[in-house]
Amino acid sequence: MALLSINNLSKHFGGVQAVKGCAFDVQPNTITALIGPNGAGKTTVFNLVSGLIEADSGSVVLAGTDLTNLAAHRRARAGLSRTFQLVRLFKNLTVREHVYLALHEDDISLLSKDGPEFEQKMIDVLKTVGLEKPAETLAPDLSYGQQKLLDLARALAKPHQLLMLDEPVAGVNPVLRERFKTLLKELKAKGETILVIEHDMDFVRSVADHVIVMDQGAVLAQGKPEEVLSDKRVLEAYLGT
Amino acid sequence: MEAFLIYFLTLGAIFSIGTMGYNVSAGYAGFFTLAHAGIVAVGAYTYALLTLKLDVPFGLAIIAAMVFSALVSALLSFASKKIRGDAFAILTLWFGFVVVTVLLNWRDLTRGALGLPGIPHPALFNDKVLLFLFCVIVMILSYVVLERIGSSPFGRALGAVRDDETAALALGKDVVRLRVSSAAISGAFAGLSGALLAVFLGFIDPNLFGIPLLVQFIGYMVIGGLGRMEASIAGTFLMLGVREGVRFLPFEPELVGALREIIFAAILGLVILYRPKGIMGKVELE
Repeated sequence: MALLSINNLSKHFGGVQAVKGCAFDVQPNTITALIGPNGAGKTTVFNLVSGLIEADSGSVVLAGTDLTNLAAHRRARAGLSRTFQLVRLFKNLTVREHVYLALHEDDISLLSKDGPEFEQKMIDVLKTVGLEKPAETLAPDLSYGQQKLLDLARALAKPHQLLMLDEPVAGVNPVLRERFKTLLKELKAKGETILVIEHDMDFVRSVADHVIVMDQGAVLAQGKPEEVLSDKRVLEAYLGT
Repeated sequence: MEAFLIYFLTLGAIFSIGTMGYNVSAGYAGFFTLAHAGIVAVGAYTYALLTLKLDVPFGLAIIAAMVFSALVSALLSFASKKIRGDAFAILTLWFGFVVVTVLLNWRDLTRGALGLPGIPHPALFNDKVLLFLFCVIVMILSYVVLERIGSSPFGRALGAVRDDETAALALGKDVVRLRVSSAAISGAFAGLSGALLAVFLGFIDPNLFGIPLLVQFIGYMVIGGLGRMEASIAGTFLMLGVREGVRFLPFEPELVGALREIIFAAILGLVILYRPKGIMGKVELE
């Protein structure tokens, strides 16, 4: 059974049909890449799935639970965790506080009852992404690459079933790009299910089990990376030939 | 001089409680409203009317003032679900105006512009030093409670909402509930401040709670700094000191009022321009 099922998802902004009858599945314990030219509707699909914008029609089902009519925070609590194309960090909070907030599902408690186990979880997440040293640094004081890692750390720390990463290596240096590749493969090996938007085809080839291509708001093709990336329609959509 | 010092310190403690309350919504949660003076008025009038008309005991009237102010503040904050940004600021400014207008016109209950004289207080507080000590203790307790709230999971979640609402939603934070809760806490301490002001002055009238009081609270909070409670206490005492200190300058009495506002506005302007975190704030004013 698919972990995530999107059916007939549509969204228009004014006269622009941003997403049109989009449908695809994400299988558990896989890395699925969502690719397509700029303006294809990939980030809009992420925002529709996570509930940050409301769909005109269609449904989103996560592990058998229909999320379609749930508010964004309820979808997150149901198991969706995501990063953002343009990193959205909490500018007055430290690295450690980002992970703390992500781990704490209870946002109304006035008492802090965090024991050593909670502390260890925070350390583990920070170690996973290599941010244990700047733990007390404010988010805006990190380098761009470190901010991307913190965005990932926050999504990882939040209890989740599906990790949705929006262009995790956009604008990062080649060394860090390799680190992200390794990290994603390690996460999959640990049982994570990842849906990732990415423009870097080498990155996609290297990490993805399944590729979904979007163009003009709809799914154009999907399948194994080597098949999809040599598909004539996909090349035309990307290169305009 | 000693009497003036007691007056100044008591007023400073009372206003500090109100400023700290303001800092919960504006500093912790980034939820800036212009209704604060109106909420302080709700607290002051709730206390005054309960003690004057129904002989409600001091402690109970104080608690009622806090609860009622918290409710009003929380209800007002619900509007933020639909109305945002400048429109919400205008709405909250209008709310403060409505409170004053209602208090001025509901003469049967409030005596309108004539105000409410002879507001009761425990006999103990006939000694101004004891009232001062009481207000300082309440200020310290308020500080401890609000600081603890700031470092709790709830307080940190407010920080997430303040810094990036979308990212907070993606972490599963219930942004509306958090914002309404912060408004309720803010309102409770505004109400406490208003009730203590009524006790201290023994007389209140609607014009005490207009735009000038709102501007004072904004000044105390911004100059002290957003996001830290000690900053609110420091900002309040410093700026209240400046305001009250002007009266000792060698100027004609009729000039003192204007000069006080000019100096206050100049310091506020300089802080906003050159020190957006205030004296000791955690969060920059945007």
